This record gives sequence, structure tokens and C-alpha cells, in this order.
Amino acid sequence: MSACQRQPVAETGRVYRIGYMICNSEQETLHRFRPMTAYLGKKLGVTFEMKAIDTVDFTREAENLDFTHTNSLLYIIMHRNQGVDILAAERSGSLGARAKGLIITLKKRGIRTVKDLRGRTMVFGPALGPTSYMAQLDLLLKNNIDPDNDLSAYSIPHGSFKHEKVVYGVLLGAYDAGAVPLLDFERMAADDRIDADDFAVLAESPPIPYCNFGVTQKTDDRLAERFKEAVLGITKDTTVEIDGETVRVLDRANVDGYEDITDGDFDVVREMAKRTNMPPYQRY
Amino acid sequence: MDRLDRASLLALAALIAVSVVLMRGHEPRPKPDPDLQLRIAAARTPEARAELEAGATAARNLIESGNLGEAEALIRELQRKFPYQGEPHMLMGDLRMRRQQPVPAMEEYKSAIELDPDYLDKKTPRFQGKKLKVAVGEALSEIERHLAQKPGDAALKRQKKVIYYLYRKIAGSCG
Repeated sequence: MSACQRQPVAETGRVYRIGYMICNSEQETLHRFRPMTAYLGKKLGVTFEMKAIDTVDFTREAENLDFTHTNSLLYIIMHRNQGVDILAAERSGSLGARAKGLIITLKKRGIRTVKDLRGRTMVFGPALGPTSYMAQLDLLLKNNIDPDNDLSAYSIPHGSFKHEKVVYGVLLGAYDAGAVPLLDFERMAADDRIDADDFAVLAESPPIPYCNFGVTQKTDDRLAERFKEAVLGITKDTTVEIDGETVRVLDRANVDGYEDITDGDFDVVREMAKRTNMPPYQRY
Repeated sequence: MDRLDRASLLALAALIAVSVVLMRGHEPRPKPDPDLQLRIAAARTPEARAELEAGATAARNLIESGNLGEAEALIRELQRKFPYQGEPHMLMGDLRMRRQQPVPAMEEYKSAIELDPDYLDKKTPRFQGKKLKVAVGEALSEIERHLAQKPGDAALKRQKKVIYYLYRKIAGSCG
């Protein structure tokens, strides 16, 4: 019977790690989610340590984390390879808890359809971004365009703020077309950094889940449930004291809120990964 | 000698004959292989554990970076050197999953959990129950797909039994 005794929800004195996938830059990611992390720690009465992790390194780090904050592609990879479970979906922008990938071009290029991209140049966002690479690859393949053989060239920018670099790359004429998430395109237009009317959207992907919180398999189930409740309970009025000031948690995170989601909702991402030979279904 | 004496002698003779037959048919218990005992003991030393851990870390890095051929060679070496440790089998299962081979992965995971039950104990840092459940689910889907085409296939039926054995083991923890 002693083998069945439940452990305490949160071990006293233990530091729990939340891994945040780096979005745009490490500095921006930490700035956005520090108040969120502090709020969750106070709400749950546990000590959280946040760690900003590059998308390409995230799956290596999963075994050292308790909670994850990633995009939907990283979630399905870690669910299959490391047993990560979904907790909550993040809402942001016009599609709420969903996201789409766009293929954009400048109107003055005269490119009208995806099929017209044959022999042209293209710039993609990060390869492990579902709406900056995978969704657009799916659109190309559906139009019988294999980027490796049917584009004259393609590239992925180095460094931080890749989504913005994609848009500027198209705007400044360096590439014929670009792969960008709808949300980032909308934000740049809303900030007047670009004029959306200069661009034509050649195609957009079906909606897929946006970013999310997950829990690793070693974390106590009851702590995970409390974490989920705390996240889902965050509203626009939720604040936390941090560095001597009162900060609105969602405003700082640049997020509209969180909602419940199931693992089955990610099957659309799984099917896309299988069609595009992306992890976790990549065949070498 | 009366009839009772003769009957007793016959019974005694029969008993002796049966005993001789049984004794001849008995196979002696094999003597323990001294080399095997030494290998099992050697695998438990701190040096051996450190070697296994270093090899496992290297194998995991190779798997994560997509170098599956090199990972497989390293894991096979670990399986040869540490035949009674679960970690090499767990790693081989992970490799098989990366190769989209959930049924062979399931066989490796079965070996891993039988050698090291901690993989299914949520109270230990080695717990891998949720990952195993996903893998077993994929293996079941694949086996059922094949069984739909070959309903009488004995090998597939055996594999399905293994699946449900694993489901029972995975579900067996206290929560």
C-alpha cells in the first residue's frame, strides 16, 4: 500500500522549470513572460525558473523541464517523443487560439498564384515554425512545387526576428515571395511598419493551433491541473508586482488570453507534418 | 514366501525401476556461467554506470540531431556491453520511433521496462510512461491496419498481445 501513497503536489523547496520557446529574440521572450511566470509562481505557491530556449534546442531540453511554452509543431514533436501533454492554448490576434501561414509577394511583381512561383526565389521563416515554414511548404507541395528543385533559390534568415526579416526581404525586393505567419504580418501592418496593400497573399494555410502551454511527463498531475487552472483563469485585469511596478500579465505577454484545448485538436498539425516530411514523422 | 511377501517385493522392484527412470530423465541444473555473473556484477560498478550514462547521453544527442545511423551503432554497442540494463533498450525504442517503426519500438520498450520497472514509476525521475503510451498507441494502429489485411497472421496477433500487455503495465501504476 505504501507504494501507492501520493506525493505532495509541489515538493517543498523545489524549483520548477518553465521552458519558453524563443519567439523573435531571447530578450523579448524573457521580457514578455517574466510577469506571467512570477504570477503563476505566486498563484501556485511554487518557485518557477524560466528558461528561454531556441526552437532547435527545445526537444533536447524537454527532459529538464516541468512545463513548456511552444508552438504547435514543437508540442506534437514533444508529445510523441517525450510524452509532453497539452494544458492550454494561447489566444492572440484575429484568429484567437489559431494561426495561419501566408505566402506573400509584392503586388508589383505580377505573381498571381502559387504555381507562378516555379523558378522564383522565396524566403522562409524558422524551419520549426509551423506557420513560417511547414504550412507554406504544404501549400507549395499541394501545387506541385518542391522548393528544393522547383524554386530558383530559397533561404531562411539568420538570427532574431526572422518573421520580420521575411516580410522586409519581400518588401525590399530581395525575394519574390515569403512565408510568414498571419499574426506577424497583421502586427507589422497595424504598427505601420508595412502597408498591407503593397502585398498580395498568394495562399494561406488552414488554421492550426497557435502557441500553448504543455507539461512534461514527470510533473505531478495535480500540479499540472492547478497550473492549467491558473493559466486559464488569467484575464486582462490580472496583474503582478514585479520590479516595483504593477504589470498586467497579458499585456506584457502580448497575448489576449488562454483557452482549453485537447491533444486531438493538434491532429491537423500532425497531418501537415506527415505530408511535408517534418518531425516527428520525418523519414530520413 | 507367501503372496504378501511376493507383492511387497514386486512393489519395491517397481518403485526402484520408476526411480531409476526418473533419475535418468532428470537434467542437472546448469552450473552458473561465471563470466555472466562477473558481467552482471561489473555492470553495477560506479565506473560502468558512468560509462553507460555517457554512452546514453551521446546516443540521445545523436538521435536529437538526426544522426540515426551513428546512434544505432552506439546503442547496439551499449546493448552488448550492458545486456541487463534497460537504458539501451529504451534508447533503441526511441530510435525506432524516429524511424517511424512503432512496432519494433514497442518490442524494445517492453525489454526496457522489464529490465527497469522505474520507467513506469511516476515517483522516479526515470518515468517514461506517457511517452510509452503514445508509442504503444501508434504500434496498435499499425498492427490493426495490417491485421485488417491479414486477419489470421500469427505474428501480428502475438504483437497485439504484447501491446495489451504493455497497456496493462503502463496503466498499472498508482497514479
